[in-house]
Amino acid sequence: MAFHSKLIELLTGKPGAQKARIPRKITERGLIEMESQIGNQLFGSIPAGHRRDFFCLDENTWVWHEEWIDEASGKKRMSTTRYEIHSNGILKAQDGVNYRFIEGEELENLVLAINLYYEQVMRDVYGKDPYTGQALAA
Amino acid sequence: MPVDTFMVPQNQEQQPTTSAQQEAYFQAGIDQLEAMANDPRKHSTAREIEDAILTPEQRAAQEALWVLGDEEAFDPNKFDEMNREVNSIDGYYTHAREAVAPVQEVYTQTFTPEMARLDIEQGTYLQRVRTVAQRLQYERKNKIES
Repeated sequence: MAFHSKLIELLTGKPGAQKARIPRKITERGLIEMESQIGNQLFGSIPAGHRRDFFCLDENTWVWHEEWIDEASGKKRMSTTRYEIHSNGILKAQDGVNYRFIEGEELENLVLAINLYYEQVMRDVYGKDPYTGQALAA
Repeated sequence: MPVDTFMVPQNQEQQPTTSAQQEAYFQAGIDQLEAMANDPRKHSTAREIEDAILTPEQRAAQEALWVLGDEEAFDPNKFDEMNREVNSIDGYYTHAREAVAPVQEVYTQTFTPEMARLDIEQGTYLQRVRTVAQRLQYERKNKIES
């Protein structure tokens, strides 16, 4: 994997996939944190002092969480968006205020992000081929 | 290969472990179960009290922060105030909250933007994202139990 990451870095000039941090004790929360280290890279670089998490919470919920310090007030800001998978579409619940089904480019981006998250998490966190489920060679 | 075609393998090949590792994992599992049983957020009256106080949206935000290990960051008394502040900010992060930002091609990928568009056109995207999430849940469970 290290070779693979370095190769991508050399070819694209972009950072390769970073090895996910392995928690001391394996828990669901620890695994989600590892997955989120991959998810937070899907939407580009994260500015210094900012924190972003994007992860699969459960079978029907994806979460995008952002935290940053507002330069003007010095206060900590945060925003949590849930994407709920329903039988008639994906409902976006934003900071508990706005609810709407997403569509168009936003829906395309989310569907793409979820699938790239899946591909990369299966490879880097679980060491498996995302489409066959077979263990990857070390 | 379309993601819809894969099946959750019934007979996962187990990684060889030493008896000491197995014992450690077993103990870790017991510790986790005990922690869950004693977790006031899930089972005690504290949870019931919070349920009576918090709106579903506040609860969802709180649970998301629990997952992230940042439960201290959540203050239900300031939730509305925090919401107003967040929603009043302009610029990049407002844009980011308005629409999922374009995905950066950081990794070598199999699933492409064209496949996403096709999936949506054909109405198969919901099945795909559900299958993906189910598979992730399966892998998490498998990893914890292994």
